[in-house]
Amino acid sequence: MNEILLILGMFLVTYSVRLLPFALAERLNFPYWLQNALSFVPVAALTAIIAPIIMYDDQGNFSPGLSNDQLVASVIAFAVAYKTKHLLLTVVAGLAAFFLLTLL
Amino acid sequence: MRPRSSTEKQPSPHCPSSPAATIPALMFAGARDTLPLILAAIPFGILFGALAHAAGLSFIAGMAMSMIVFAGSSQFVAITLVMTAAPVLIIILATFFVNLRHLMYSAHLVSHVKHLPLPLRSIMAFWLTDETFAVVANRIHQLDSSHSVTHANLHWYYLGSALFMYSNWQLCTLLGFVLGERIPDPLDWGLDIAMVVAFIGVVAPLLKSFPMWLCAVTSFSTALLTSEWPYQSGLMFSMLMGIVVASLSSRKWTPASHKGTKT
Repeated sequence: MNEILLILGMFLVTYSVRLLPFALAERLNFPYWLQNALSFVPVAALTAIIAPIIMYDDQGNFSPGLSNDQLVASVIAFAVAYKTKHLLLTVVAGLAAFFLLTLL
Repeated sequence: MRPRSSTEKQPSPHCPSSPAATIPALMFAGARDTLPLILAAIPFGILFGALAHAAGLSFIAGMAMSMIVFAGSSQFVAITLVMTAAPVLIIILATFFVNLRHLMYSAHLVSHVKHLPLPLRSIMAFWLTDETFAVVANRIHQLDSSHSVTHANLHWYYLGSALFMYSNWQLCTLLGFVLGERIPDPLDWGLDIAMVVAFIGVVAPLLKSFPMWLCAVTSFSTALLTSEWPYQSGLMFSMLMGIVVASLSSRKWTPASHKGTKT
């Protein structure tokens, strides 16, 4: 295993993906439809990341019921976030709900 | 990020929404908002360090991967492939695909970094992660909602978040590598709930239109159906599905088609 080659190669492919739009920022003039599409990126990405964590239990079974502490805490967090639009308040409420539920 | 007219984003030296905001205060705000995501990243950093050790990587290589590559999920895929003695080229290709979603993050942020000098943008790009993207997207939304006319100081907030993520990742890799299997399975600590609720805190306030809701519902359900796909391709696919379905439903193809409804 050539460690130097591995790390350099991984650096090149990850950094170029992150850098490309930033580096070309002044020259990029996205068409209107693409600007509109990009406005959905945060919702699309963050929702897709958390969905399996919320809905599957530790054994990987689909768990949509009240016995799923992560799901119940997530619903509470969502209600707080939707109402208050406050990130840290949401986190505190969600974590408090989760740890209370796991204690029960 | 909705399209804005060019007169609205003239950089000005002060941020009207927080007139007293100094550089340390902005960096602190970025770090503070990232705290729950730091908590959730700790077990992964420690596990990565332990796995790097178990996979037979040298200490230098394990640390260098975290310091130079700095891409959590890609590093996990890479280390798993190292354990199966996969060829270097395959590992690099897998890394590329796992990290491809950052292209969309970077593209989303383009209009907010345009005014910054290229060296600064290059540094910011290196530190782009799911976590920093999430809190920065939230910050942009807050500035938009408070009718702030400029995001000129956004980069300090970004850097505060990114530096906190970066130093935490190095520290956890180090701990994991040195302590290795003496740490009981870090993923059982249940800390990923901190990331879940933080991401919910970012997403929920953005759900202000039918297309945004449709995007969330589509991404959510697609992610459940594709969570077993290899190399996180299910995640990328779910993102794209959400974006495409939401775009089609919003029917905003040209500025003229939605004239006057939004600024």
